[in-house]
Amino acid sequence: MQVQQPQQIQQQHLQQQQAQQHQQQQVQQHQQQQQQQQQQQQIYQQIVNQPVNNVHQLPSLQQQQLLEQYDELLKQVSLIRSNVSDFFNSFIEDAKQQQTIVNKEEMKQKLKKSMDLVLGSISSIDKVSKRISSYSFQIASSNFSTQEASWAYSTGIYDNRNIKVQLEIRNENYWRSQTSYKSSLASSNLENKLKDLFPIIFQEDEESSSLSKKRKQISSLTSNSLSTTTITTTTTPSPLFKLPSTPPTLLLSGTISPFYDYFAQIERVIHSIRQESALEIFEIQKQSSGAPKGLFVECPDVFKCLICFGIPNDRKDCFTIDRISFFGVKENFDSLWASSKYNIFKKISENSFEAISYYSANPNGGSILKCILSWIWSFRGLFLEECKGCQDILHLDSPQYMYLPPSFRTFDNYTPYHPSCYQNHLLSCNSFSSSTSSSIQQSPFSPLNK
Amino acid sequence: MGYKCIFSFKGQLPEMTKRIEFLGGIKVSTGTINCSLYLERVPDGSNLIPREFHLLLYDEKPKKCFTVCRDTIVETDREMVSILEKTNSYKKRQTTEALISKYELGDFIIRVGPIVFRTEIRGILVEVEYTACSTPVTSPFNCTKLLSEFINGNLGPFPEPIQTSFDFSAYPTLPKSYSDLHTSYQYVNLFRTIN
Repeated sequence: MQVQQPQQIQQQHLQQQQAQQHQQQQVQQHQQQQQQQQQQQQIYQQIVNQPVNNVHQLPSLQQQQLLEQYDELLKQVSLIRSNVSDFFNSFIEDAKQQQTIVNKEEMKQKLKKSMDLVLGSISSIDKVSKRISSYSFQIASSNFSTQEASWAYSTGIYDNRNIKVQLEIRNENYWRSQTSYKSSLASSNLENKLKDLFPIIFQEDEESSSLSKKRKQISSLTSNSLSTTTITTTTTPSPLFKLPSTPPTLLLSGTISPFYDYFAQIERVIHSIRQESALEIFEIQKQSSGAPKGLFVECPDVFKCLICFGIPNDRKDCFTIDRISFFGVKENFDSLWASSKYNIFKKISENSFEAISYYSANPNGGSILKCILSWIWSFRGLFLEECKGCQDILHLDSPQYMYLPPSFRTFDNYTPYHPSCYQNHLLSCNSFSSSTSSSIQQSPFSPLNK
Repeated sequence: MGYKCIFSFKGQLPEMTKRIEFLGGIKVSTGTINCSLYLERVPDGSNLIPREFHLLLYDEKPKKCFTVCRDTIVETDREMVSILEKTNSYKKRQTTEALISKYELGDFIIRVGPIVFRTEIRGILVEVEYTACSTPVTSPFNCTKLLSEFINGNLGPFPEPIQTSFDFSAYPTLPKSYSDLHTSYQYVNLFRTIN
């Protein structure tokens, strides 16, 4: 009799449990029925909430405007979708590029930008929907649930690879944060232990820091002094530009009216010079009007030179001699303004300016060009003739030009001199003339020859 | 190229270099001048007289060599040396070499160095060139007088005055203006007197 009683009790418990389950099922069924009824009511309400106005009753212009509004609405919806995809891509872009360092600020900017765009699109959608609400059914999100899912899958948000990347990023960030926290704790603990065990080290560190501060002060002082010195050097005035020395004839004669040669007389002058000397003369760079820009003169086997003409602004039929450049026989030149590579010809070219100024002021009743060409012909014995002052061919002219033959010719009778020897000659003549009692004035160029 | 004068100095090399530097010369570079005597290979027993010529090589002209024969002086390509070696038609008898240093002194160029023949120094080679003068050799306006004054007055004094004019009439085919062929002739004559 006692053995039968627990079995009966168990059976009773089982029966009770089954009864409870049955009741629960009944309750659930009832709830489901209620939900279905509610849904049916909602559908009925939607059917009841049909548009107030009909589109087909409107004029064509208003119909067109409504269509434009719908297009704008769809455009904003597409913008929302693209910005949402950008929002999610900004999280995983760094991981896709396999970058170890995550640029948080850049990520924040991208997220903010996409969020702003999404919110703007939503606000514009609200505005547009208000305008067209009377002509359309009410929008409910439950109607687009399947489309949303397909859109999410198509954009790749729920892609397995993206999910994996997101997990890796999350793990990486967790590891980094934990590591930084632990390292900060460890460093502080180590510092405290070192202070307790080795107090001298920190004292020495303080002394070294003070020394470094002193050094910085000293360097700053030196930099200030350097800046002051630079300022002083910059503020000092530059030396005055030395004016070129003018020939004494110009100074003695005072104001001089310039003399010009005529282009029409060039042929005659060249012909006369060819008869008197062995110079070979050619006109160069003839212009359209027939006036040459200069002359190419060659002294056979000794040198060649270029004479450059200048045309005054007020008179086009006349010319002056601007420059004479001397070159070696086998030397090439590229332009009218080239200079020789040999020191002797450089020196003669420099001396030619003095000759030009002299003959321009003193043409002696003839042609300036003829006088210049005669002066050029006097250099035919450049490497052969001795200086009349020192009776030598070579003389140390300067550290730049070194040893040179006589590079100066007097302008009246073409006597060869070294420039320094000629100056000494002038000085001796002046002293001789001053010592004598004669009052006759002599020419400064060649008084003895006269 | 300017006119050159080549002569042998009987003193010591440092003495000459000091003189050049005292005048203001600046050392520019170094090089060698090689002069080889080639003799024709004649079959044994023949009565033919073997021909000979001098072959000169300059470091400043690495692609050229100059051949001084009995009656002519020719400028040829450097490949001439290898051709002579391969054909085996001429035999190199003796070689004279000059290890020169180049100095620039304004318009003058001076080359100076020892002359080495059979591992012995036979004298000091001095070559003075006046670059600004390109007159023909036979012209009365040439710079032989100028060079004579520079060599005997500035580089000197020397026991005997150095002769700056040179007679090139033995080779009528030489060009009118001074050239490397004239220089080669001067070198050959100088080395002959030394050897």
